[in-house]
Amino acid sequence: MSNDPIVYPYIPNSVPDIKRRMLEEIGAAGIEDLYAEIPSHLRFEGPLNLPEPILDEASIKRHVEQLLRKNRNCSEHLSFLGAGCARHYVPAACDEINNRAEFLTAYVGESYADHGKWQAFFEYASLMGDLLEMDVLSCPLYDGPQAAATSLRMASRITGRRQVLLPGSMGEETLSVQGILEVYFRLEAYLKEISGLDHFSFQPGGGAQGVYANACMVRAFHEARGDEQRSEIITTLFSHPCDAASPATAGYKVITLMPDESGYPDLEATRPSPRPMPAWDIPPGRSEWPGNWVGFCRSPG
Amino acid sequence: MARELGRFLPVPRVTFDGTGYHLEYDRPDSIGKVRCFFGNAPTILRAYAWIMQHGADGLREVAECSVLNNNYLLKKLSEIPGVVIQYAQGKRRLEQVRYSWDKLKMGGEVCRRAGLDSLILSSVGGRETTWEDTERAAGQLLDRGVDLLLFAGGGGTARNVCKAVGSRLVTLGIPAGVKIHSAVYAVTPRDAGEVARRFLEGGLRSVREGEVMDIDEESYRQGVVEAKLYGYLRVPVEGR
Repeated sequence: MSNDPIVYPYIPNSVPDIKRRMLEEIGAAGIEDLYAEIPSHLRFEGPLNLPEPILDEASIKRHVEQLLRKNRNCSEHLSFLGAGCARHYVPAACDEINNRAEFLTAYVGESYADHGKWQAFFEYASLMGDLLEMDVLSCPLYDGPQAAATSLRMASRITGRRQVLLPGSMGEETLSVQGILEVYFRLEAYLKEISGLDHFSFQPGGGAQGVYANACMVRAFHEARGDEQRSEIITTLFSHPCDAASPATAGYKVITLMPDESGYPDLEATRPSPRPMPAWDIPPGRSEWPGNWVGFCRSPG
Repeated sequence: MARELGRFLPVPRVTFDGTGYHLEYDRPDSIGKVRCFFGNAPTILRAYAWIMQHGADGLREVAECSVLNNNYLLKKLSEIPGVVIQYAQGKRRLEQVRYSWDKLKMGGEVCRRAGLDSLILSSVGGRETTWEDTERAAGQLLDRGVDLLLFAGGGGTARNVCKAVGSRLVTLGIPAGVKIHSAVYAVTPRDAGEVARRFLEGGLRSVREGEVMDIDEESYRQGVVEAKLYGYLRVPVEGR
């Protein structure tokens, strides 16, 4: 930070005096104190290689609009591309309802933090059940293809069959959207810089789908090495529920590690070894380490 | 993703050939598509705009403020009697903390021991409860729009519940007090459970207004037993 600190409008409590008083209240000498639990070898030192920020809001708006102007869009052009993509007019009333205060929450807007949304889902599903004459409906999914994928998975579990027939006319999109593709390309570079990872994919529609894609890739990685024995994925009690649910959807058996007294999952327990597992973390029905864990993937060296 | 996983990434990948951007599908080891079209574009755009607006210093500020805010909240919440901070006692947290009402010995604890799921609406911490707590709890149940408000106690408790919810909820008293003059209590606690079950299952449909009566404690101490009507509560009628 420079001597003349920037106060960021969208970061709560970024004002230096407020930060100082909060640190005083919690008895910390500085922000660094709060990171005491992160060992130094895991910390990133030095500046991130990112573009200079565009601090004022008018300029960031102009920057984004300039990028998006390179898109050819359906407001200005008629689209005959098809492939499940058609322009829908969304009446202004929909935005008005979506932006109502009772649908807004401080957290991520997930239903578990937002019981009004549960009720809206319930009423919506009930109405759709009436309309479609269906006995059972799911909560709303991302989109049509997501719903199709889910129903195919359910059908596969019922019938035990693994092959699906699809019409060849279901083509890939060839939209001319240079602006948003540039955003994808740049964002991937920035996120690689921030995270220190080698690749990013923006294909998944959300976190749980990202974990699903991850589980599929880890399996593809092992299978490409001729190792098809690994059928289990390790997660922890504290991980997001999707860390267990998504690999299970992808066909994995899920092992959940319990925290030790410190609150951290026992990292020793993730290291395959012939030693017997301590009593508290033996999954039901096991007496020693299984040899078929997927384990964690990381770069060798 | 680590480098080794690169060739398995979902398609399409966004590539740049020096003049334009393309969607690349020709990746034989890819796990394929996991979503239609090319992902969640509005969210990608917001993430991009956020990074562009903050830069390296701003992103560090985001991280530091989130950790600071969380530790501040931890300090404030830990001062509330009854709040338990789980795990890693005395250590600094980053952006998350697990809190619980673990030590509460009120209704939540009773439900837990009985194997019932419960949603705890408020806490009194470690102190003794008062009639204000009863009124507040009844008011919160009213706000929740419960099907049946079950309360355990005697004349005083019925008065508190009556004051808080009036005739806006169906209620039922579980007799557990020292003076029961109100016609809103079941004959025994077991009967209360039976009536509650039948009401919630739809077996009992009619509801009547029961008198909420209590004796005047001051005149009682002077040897005069005098019950007074304080209002009415709506209670299920056992249709036998």
